[in-house]
Formats: sequence, structure tokens, C-alpha cells
Amino acid sequence: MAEFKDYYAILGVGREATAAEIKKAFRKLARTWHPDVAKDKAGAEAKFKEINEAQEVLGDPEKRAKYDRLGADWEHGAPAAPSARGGGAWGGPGDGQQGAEDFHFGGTGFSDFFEQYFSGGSRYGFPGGARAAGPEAGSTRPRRGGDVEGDLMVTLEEAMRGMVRPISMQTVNRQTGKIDRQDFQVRIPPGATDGRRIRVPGQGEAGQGGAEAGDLYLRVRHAAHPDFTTEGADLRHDLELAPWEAVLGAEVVVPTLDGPIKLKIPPFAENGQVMRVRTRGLPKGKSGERGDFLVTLLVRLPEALTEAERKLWEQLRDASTFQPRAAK
Amino acid sequence: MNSRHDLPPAASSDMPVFEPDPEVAYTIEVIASLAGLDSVTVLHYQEMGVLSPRAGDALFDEEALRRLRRIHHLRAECGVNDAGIRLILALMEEVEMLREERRQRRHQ
Repeated sequence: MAEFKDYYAILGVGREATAAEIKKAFRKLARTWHPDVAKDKAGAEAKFKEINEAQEVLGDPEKRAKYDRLGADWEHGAPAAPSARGGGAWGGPGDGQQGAEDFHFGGTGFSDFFEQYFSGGSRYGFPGGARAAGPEAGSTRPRRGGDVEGDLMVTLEEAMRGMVRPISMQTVNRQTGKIDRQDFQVRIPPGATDGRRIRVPGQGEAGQGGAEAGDLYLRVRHAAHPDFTTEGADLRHDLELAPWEAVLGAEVVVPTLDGPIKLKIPPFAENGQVMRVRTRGLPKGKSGERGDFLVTLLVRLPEALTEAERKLWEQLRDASTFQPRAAK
Repeated sequence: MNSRHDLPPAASSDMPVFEPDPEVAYTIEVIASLAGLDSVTVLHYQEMGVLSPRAGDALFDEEALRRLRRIHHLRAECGVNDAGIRLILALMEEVEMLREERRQRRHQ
């Protein structure tokens, strides 16, 4: 049984926290514990991934509701069976109850608890385990083992450079209770996009009757970053501007994965306008090409004014020829 | 299982390293044998429109292999006919797309 994870405590929010409060808490913590910023890199990385995992669950209304129910069950000492996995609807193989073997991963960046209850894909790959539960369970007819799927949390910095990730996989045979542990390393190619599956041949469910084992598919999940989101190989960033910066134009320093760059905002920039900085996104395969960096301009309005500022806005109001509601 | 399984194993030199070629591509004969099928069956799925090679070089990638295994599973283990396979794959694709979309939106 996986250990219960208190995601609310991890994010430092109350059980009644609103979605906005959760997002805010996540951003703040992610900024503090981001491996590029923190001094203790290894410790920070584990913490960063833990924060991301909490966000992944509490940031999703459906998963959060499920988590709250789970928590209540846990308190009564009767956790629900982890059967309702994401992929479970497709008739058996996605359903954690049916395989001949249980799989537990280490090194994926997600906890065992998350994998058991919240992993998005079916842990048992599609053509997998259901067979063992079928009428032919005892048959010695050679059958290839099922494919197994797991999630792999990858930070954007890791996706940028690529890396070799040590993984441990524990297999528990449901009938015999025999536990097998295998350690191996998997190369995550530079530019691994979110949702992309990395196939590790022969590391899936064992075959029957001398047939070969299935494959392990590790699905890349980009860790949420305080500054960026990804869209394929493109990197997106929200840039907040003061009204005068948008109107007069400005030069603003913005972060990228390669370090900060100066971005020239043209005069009369529109709210929501997207600026494209070419080739500052993630790498695209081996070609050496890269995706783009897309900056969305968000014009923010002040929420409070000093007396001096109020006077200036009033002067602007009285002098301005701008008529936003005039017919064009 | 407890939380120590969250920890990655310490990397050591005798640990096998899998380095999947991200741009690997298979001919129809190779992808057929990887899925335990013959080329004629693969061709049939291709003609059905449920499996397609890459544009340009007519080779199949890793996603195509995964898809081929699913198609074959639906046919051989679940007894689904061609029309059913088409429908199920389309539905699964849509579900996956919607899940991704929801996830993307949450990250923004």
C-alpha cells in the first residue's frame, strides 16, 4: 500500500483553498524550489517534483475531488482499491485489478501514491494483463507480455538538454507474490515533448510460455514551470505590462530557458498580443532546429494609486483624445 | 510499498542504459515482425485507414507500433471487427486529445 501524500500540506494551503489560491501557492513554491535557483540542487529537485505532483492533483477539480474522497477513506483506515485508473474505461487492461503483475516505479519523479491513484495513462498498456485473468490463465500457449505504461516527470530544463534517468521498477506477481526489482537507465532525448512516449523494449510484463516480454512506455509529463508552459517544441511565457509600457513601447528583460533576453515591446502593443522570438524554444529532434518562444503581452492596470499618480491619470483623462467607444 | 520507492536508484555503471532512438523508423516488414504479424495484415490495416506511415518516406515510427499492437489486440483478443476498430480508435484518440487539452489549460 502506498503511503498517503498530504498534498495540501505540501502546497501549504488549507483544504478549503480556492483554485486561484492553489495556483498562487504553487507558483510561489515552484519559484523557491526551482532546481536552477536553489542552492541544494538535489534536494530542491525532489521538492520541486513533489510540489508539481501536488499541483497536478489539486489543480485539477476532478482529481482534487477524488483525492478528497481518498483522504476521507484513509482516515477511516479503508482506502479504496486503486481500480479507477485513467485508462481503465477501455475494458480491462487499463484496470489495475486485472494484470498478472503489479508495477511500482522509482525515479519517475512521481510518488507511488500518485502512480497508484492519479496516473493519467493506463499503467497496464493496452494489449496487457487482462489475459491472465481470462479463461486461458493457466494455458501455456506462448503469449507476449503486455505493454506497461508509466508517467515520467521531466522538468523543462531536463527536456531542453536531454538526460539519462535512473529508474527502478518493482514487479510483484499477483499469484506468487514474488517481488522482482530491476534498475536501469533511460535516455530522455533533448526536446522530449509533453505527452511523448519513450519505448523501453522488453521491460514490460513478462511473456508466457517462453514468449517475449512486453515493452515499457514512459510518457513524458513536463513539470509545470513558474515562468513557462510548452506547446510542442514552442515555449510560452506571459509578460505583464504597465499601460504606459504597452502604449509607449518598452524594452523588457524576460526569462528564457537559455537565460534572460531583452524584448522590445513596440508602441501600441495590444493586450493579449503574442510576440514570437524565433528558435528560443525546445530543440526539435536531432536536426538542431528549435521551437519558438512565444510571449503573450498582458496589460495590467494599477489597483491602487498615490495622490500624485491620481493627479496624472486625471490630467491624462482631461487631455486625451482617445475615445474607446467611438464608432470606428 | 512505501515512499522510498519515490527515490531514484543511484546510477551505477553496470546498470543497463536504454537509449531509444527518438527518430527510429521501421519498414513495413520490420514493424510487422515487431508486432508478431505479417506484412499483409499491416497493409490491410493501412488500407483500412487506421494505421499510416510517415509522410515522405513511408516508414513507421514508435507510435505506429503502439497503435498496431492495439489494433491487433482489439481484433485478436476482443473480437472486434474492422468497423469497430475504426470507431474505437477514433474515440480513444479523441479522449486522449481532450485529456491533453484539459491538462494544457490547467498549466496556464
